[in-house]
Amino acid sequence: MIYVGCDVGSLSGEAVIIEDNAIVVHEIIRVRPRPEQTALEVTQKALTKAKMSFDDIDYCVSTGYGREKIPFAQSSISEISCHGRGAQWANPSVRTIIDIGGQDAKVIKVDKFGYMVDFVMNDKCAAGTGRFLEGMAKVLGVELEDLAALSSGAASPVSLTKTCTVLSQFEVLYMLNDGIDRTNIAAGINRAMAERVSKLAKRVGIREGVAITGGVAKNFAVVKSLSEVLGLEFVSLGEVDPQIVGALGAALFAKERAEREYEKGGIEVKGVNKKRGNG
Amino acid sequence: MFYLGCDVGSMTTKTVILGNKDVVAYDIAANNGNLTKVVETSVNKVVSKAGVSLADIDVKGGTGMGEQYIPFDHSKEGIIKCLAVAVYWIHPHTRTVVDIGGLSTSVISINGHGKVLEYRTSDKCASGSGFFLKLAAQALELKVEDLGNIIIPCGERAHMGTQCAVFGESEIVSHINDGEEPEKIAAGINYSLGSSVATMINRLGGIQDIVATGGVAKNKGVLRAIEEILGMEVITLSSIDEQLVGALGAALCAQQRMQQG
Repeated sequence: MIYVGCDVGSLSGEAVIIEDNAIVVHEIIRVRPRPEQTALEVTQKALTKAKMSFDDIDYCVSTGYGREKIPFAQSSISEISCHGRGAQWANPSVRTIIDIGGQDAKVIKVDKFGYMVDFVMNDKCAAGTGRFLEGMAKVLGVELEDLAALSSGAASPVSLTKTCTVLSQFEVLYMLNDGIDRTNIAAGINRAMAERVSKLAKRVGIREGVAITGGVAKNFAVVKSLSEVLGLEFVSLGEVDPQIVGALGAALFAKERAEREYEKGGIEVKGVNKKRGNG
Repeated sequence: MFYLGCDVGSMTTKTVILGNKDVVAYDIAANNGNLTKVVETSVNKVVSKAGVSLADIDVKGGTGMGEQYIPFDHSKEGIIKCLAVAVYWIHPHTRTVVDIGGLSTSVISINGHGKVLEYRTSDKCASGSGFFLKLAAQALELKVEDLGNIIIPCGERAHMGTQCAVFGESEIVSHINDGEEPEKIAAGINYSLGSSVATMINRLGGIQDIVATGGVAKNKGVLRAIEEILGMEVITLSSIDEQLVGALGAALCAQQRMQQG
């Protein structure tokens, strides 16, 4: 059986295809102007990579802020639940997920089955989200991906006095004007990001077994700072790309829903009776 | 006698030269690149416009968050006092000064003698600042000056759900993608900014006359929104550019100090 999870976020869209409880392929693209466009493109890309077509999909669950606008998904589930589910599948010891996305940050607590029990989120202010790092990278004149590398070996990271992304951008601009070393500024930026997220985490409380997901999890300097600020080591998600955890969770929910609906025999699930592999 | 005032703000540097009664020369420069250079260039421009040399001006005042970049001896004064002094000097009926600048908004309540009674500054967050308008204008492909001329009735404005300047920019892009008319979005932006400023004015009692200063005071859409919410008139000073009020205040404060010896 082929299950697809599609996560349409604010800055990127991800699709994950699973079969027999294993990831077949995943894809990540930058968002298009409309959520349905993003979903279609990223899913098509993943299907092509897996040498499949839309007809092969048995059940698809969409998630992310654009989740309700995806025409080919049978149902949609909040990204909070999906991140919990995806991370717990990748590493069963996970009990807390810190998800830092493009336009929000969430801290999600899950039970041993990966079901969400509590969460806290910031989607009101760009500080502590991907947008903060994006704005800072722009001022420093580097690509977002290079911000972590730039900060390596900083002797004395600067401290940013403002929380606001816009005001911090100006603060950095003044620092550059004053000739302060870019390495130390980059390190200060990553540190500020970590401190902001840790405040959010402390609001909901941390339960051992903490994983970090979302695009910002790929910035190793932020991850390292955050681990220092929180005083803990993050658990590994193994081979799973931290940016696809939401989509992965959606795919796992797709599997669960398809199986449940098939058992009930009530609603006809598209293609569920179709023979494919050991399906 | 000439008096010089220089206000190094977050986004622009303003310099004025005050003669015996009036502003005789002024300059508004964008803070691009090295700030000391920006200030120097602006001051030189004003001095030559006034037909004097910097050495001839013995009273110089500085203010603003970048005041330390002024490269010559001057007397330093806080921006709040400068704004209060200058607005009172031009319009003595003023009881509330609303300064909406590049990165911060201040509301100042003053008494009948121009003395500062109380003030509030929002400088923690760029929501409700001129910089947000700049971002918004860019997203709408409008000039920031034109953004202020768009005034349409409520009910037709696009709704802005976020206060954050960064998220606001994304919200504008979503509105555009949803096919919303740029005028409605622009009006929604002006209203959203106006409502956060109105809340600040209300907190300080909102006593009339209310005078608006700073770059955003040039945006009529924002001022009309504030008036609509408060049900009170918000005036601007016709005799001086809204952006120059802080610099004028710096010159007046320096003058007062000199007179008091």
